[in-house]
Amino acid sequence: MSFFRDFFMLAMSAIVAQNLFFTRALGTSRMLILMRNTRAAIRYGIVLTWVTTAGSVLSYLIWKPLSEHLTSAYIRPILFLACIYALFGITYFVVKKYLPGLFRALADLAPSAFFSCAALGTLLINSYQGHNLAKSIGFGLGSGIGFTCALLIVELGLRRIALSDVPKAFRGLPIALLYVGLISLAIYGLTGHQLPS
Amino acid sequence: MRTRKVKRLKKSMYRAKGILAGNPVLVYGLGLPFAVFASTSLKNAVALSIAMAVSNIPTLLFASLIAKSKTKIPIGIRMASYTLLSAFLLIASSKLIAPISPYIFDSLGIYFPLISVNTIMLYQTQNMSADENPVSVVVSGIFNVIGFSLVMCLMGTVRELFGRGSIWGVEAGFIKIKAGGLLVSFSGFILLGFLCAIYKGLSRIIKGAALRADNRQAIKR
Repeated sequence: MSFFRDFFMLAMSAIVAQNLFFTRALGTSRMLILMRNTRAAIRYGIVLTWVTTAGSVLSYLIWKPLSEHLTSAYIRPILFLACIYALFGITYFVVKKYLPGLFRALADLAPSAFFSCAALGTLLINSYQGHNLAKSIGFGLGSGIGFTCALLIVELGLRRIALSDVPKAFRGLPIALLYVGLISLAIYGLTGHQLPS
Repeated sequence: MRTRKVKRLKKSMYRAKGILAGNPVLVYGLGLPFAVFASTSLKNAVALSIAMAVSNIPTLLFASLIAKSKTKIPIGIRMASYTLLSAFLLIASSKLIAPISPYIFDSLGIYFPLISVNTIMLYQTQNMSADENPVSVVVSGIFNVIGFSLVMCLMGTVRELFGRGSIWGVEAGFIKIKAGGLLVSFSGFILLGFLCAIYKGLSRIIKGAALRADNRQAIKR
C-alpha cells in the first residue's frame, strides 16, 4: 500500500509542484524546436516519459547497491549516462526489429530525448533526493508527463500570443520566456512557496 | 549599394557570431536551464562558463574529426560518444572550478553534471558538416562559449547584486533593498526574456541606423 502511496505522491508532485520544465527549467531549450509542431511535442514527450520512467528504475537498481562503495561524486553522472546509453541501445534495437513503423516515426526525435537535460536531470534528482523504488518510478513517470503537459501548455499559449500585437523586440524567444516565467511564477505560488526575504 | 553598410556590419559580426549575432542563449535559446536556474550568483556563472569551455571545445574538435572522417555512425551512437567524452572532461574541469568556492558544487547541484548533455554542444555537433574545417569548428565553439559566458555573467551579476546585495560574495553597501525573488527560477525566465528583448531591440536599432546612413550616402551621390 505504501508503494502506491509513494508512487502517486511523487508522480503528482513531479507533474505539478516539481515540474521539470517550469520549476527547474530542464529541457527548455527544446521548447523552441518543438512548440511549432504539436504532434512532434507529443511524440517527444512519450519518448521522454519512457526514458525518465525506465531510466529511473534502471538507475535505482544499479546505484542502490553501489552507493555505499562508491564515494566519488563524479561517478554518479557517468553511471546514469551509462544507464541512458543502455536504455537507448535496448530501445533502438527492439523498436527497429519489432516496430518498424514506430521506429520511422521516432527516429529523428529519440536521440535528442534520450540525451537531454530533462532525462539525465530526472535520474540525478531521484538519486540526490534519496528516493526509494516507488518514489523513483513515480517521479520518473510524473516528470515525463509533466514535461509533455508543459510543452502543450506553452505551445497553446504561444499560438494565442501570436494572434495579438506583441512589440517587435519581444516577438519569438523573449515573449516565450516571459510566458514560461509567468506560468513558473503561478506554480511557485500555487505550491505555497514564499519569496526568500 | 543601399545595403552596403549593413552587409559590412554583418560581415564584421560574422567573425564573432557566437558572441553577439548568433549568441547561443539570446538568439537560439540554447543552454537555457543554466542561464535561467543556475545563474543565481557570479561565482556560479563563472564556474559553469569554465566547465562549458573545458567540456565543449575538445568535444567539438572530436565531433568535427568524426564528421571529417565520413564514417557512417548512427546519430544516437555519435551523441552518446560526445556526451560521454563531455562527462569525462567535466571531471577535469572540476579541478579548475573547486578553488572558486568550497560550496560551489553544492550551489550548482545537478546543473554541473548536466553540462555533459548541454544543447549548445549537441546543437553544434548535430549541425556539423563533413566539409567544415576542425579549426573553424573549434573557433566557433570558443565564440559560443564566450557568448554563453557573457550572458551567464550578466545574469549572475544582476541576480546576485539585487537578490543578495553582493557581488562575488562581497557585500555591496549601496544596495539597500534586496529582491529575493530574483534568485528563484521564474525570475530567471523573466529576466532572460527582457534581456533577449533588449538585445533584439538594440540590434534592430543598430541595423536600422546603418541602413538609414547608407541610404543618405546613396542619395547624396
